[in-house]
Amino acid sequence: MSLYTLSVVQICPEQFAQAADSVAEAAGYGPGNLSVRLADGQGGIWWGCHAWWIPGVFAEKTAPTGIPEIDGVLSQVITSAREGGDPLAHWFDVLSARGLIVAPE
Amino acid sequence: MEKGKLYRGFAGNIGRFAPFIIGLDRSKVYAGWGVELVAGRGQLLPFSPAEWDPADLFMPGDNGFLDSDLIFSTLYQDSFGFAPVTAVNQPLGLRLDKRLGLVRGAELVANGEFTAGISGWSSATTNTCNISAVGGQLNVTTTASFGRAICQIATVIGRTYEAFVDADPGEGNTAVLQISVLTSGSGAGAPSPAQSTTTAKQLRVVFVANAASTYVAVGSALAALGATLKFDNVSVRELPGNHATQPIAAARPMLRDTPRRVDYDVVDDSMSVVFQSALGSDCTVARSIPGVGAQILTAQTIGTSYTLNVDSCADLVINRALTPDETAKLMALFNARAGV
Repeated sequence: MSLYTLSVVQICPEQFAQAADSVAEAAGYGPGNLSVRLADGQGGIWWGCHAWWIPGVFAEKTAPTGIPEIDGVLSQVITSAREGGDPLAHWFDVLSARGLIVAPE
Repeated sequence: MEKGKLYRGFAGNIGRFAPFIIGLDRSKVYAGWGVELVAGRGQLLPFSPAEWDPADLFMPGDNGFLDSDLIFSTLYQDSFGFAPVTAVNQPLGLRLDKRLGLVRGAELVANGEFTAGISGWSSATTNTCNISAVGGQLNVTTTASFGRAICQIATVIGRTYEAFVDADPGEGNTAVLQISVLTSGSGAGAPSPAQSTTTAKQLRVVFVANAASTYVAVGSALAALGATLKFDNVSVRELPGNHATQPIAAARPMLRDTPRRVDYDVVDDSMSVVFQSALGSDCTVARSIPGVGAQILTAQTIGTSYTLNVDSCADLVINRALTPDETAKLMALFNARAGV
């Protein structure tokens, strides 16, 4: 049985994305997780990603740390989590809800 | 397993890759019995005497990447080889290239079993310690925060190596195996992977050398002074091949089954293979598309890296055109892998 059942989409406005990535890298998740460039049609740029998570680990890692510098940054990341399903459909649902499209540089 | 049938596979054996069927090499089949695994993460796959090994495509001078069977013992959930894949539905961070049979290189640590005292080992700078060889083990007693012992080895930039150590941190300590480019044995600077433990166990790190001189550091991951940690069986060997990696957690594909395949989420997943020199303009790329079959792309131009991001049950990249006979064999194998 798979443990990695939680489909998680995360998006973040560009001005906070690098800081959010730094928090993730310091936690051992590697550099640049928010790797997909997005645009809102009014000149605004966002960055996003999709990953499969173990539900219990996701709950632990996204709980407030009590450290203002980290919690402040992570509060700027919009997260959508759902059990199973098609990751691409989930991704486009999140983008559509925010009026975002994929916009490679 | 069924009596009378031949199997092929690999013994997990603490992550080492080795054929376990006696008498089987890459190009020939010997009649025999399957061997029951006694340990490790090995897998058994039914072996047909007609099955051909695509590693035989790679002659001297050929280069590329090959993974044609997605065996657990050659797959890892992270890009440094810390967490092996043990089942399907786990992420892939490291996928070993099987062109060269994963035969490890020569031992690079001259005195890893400490039979010659502490020869070749010294205290790190800044992260200092006292070291001694006792009963064939290295004792590291910290005299500074993160105190550790170092051993210098010669490495080739861009090549992949595998490091092991048996670590015993003792009570209340955390032992670390750190690959470093500094005499301090720290993780500063270029990617310098490390693995640590609070209990006695074997630590393992897979790393790509980014300097001609690399330090293997063993010691404490904590700031406490006066801690004594024990180490033995330090080993570093080259792990030949152009291995596929993905250091970004969110971008790792998943290993799925039925058919066994690498599953990319089409949002951001990929794996990258790096070559020490450009492969050129006459490359062949072959994939086993799940439920569809072999896809062979010819006359591909590939530089010093190649991105894998198409769902596949097997992948091959080679820096030349294939003969009709080679193409036919590859198609048959990749169709079988795809379940068609």
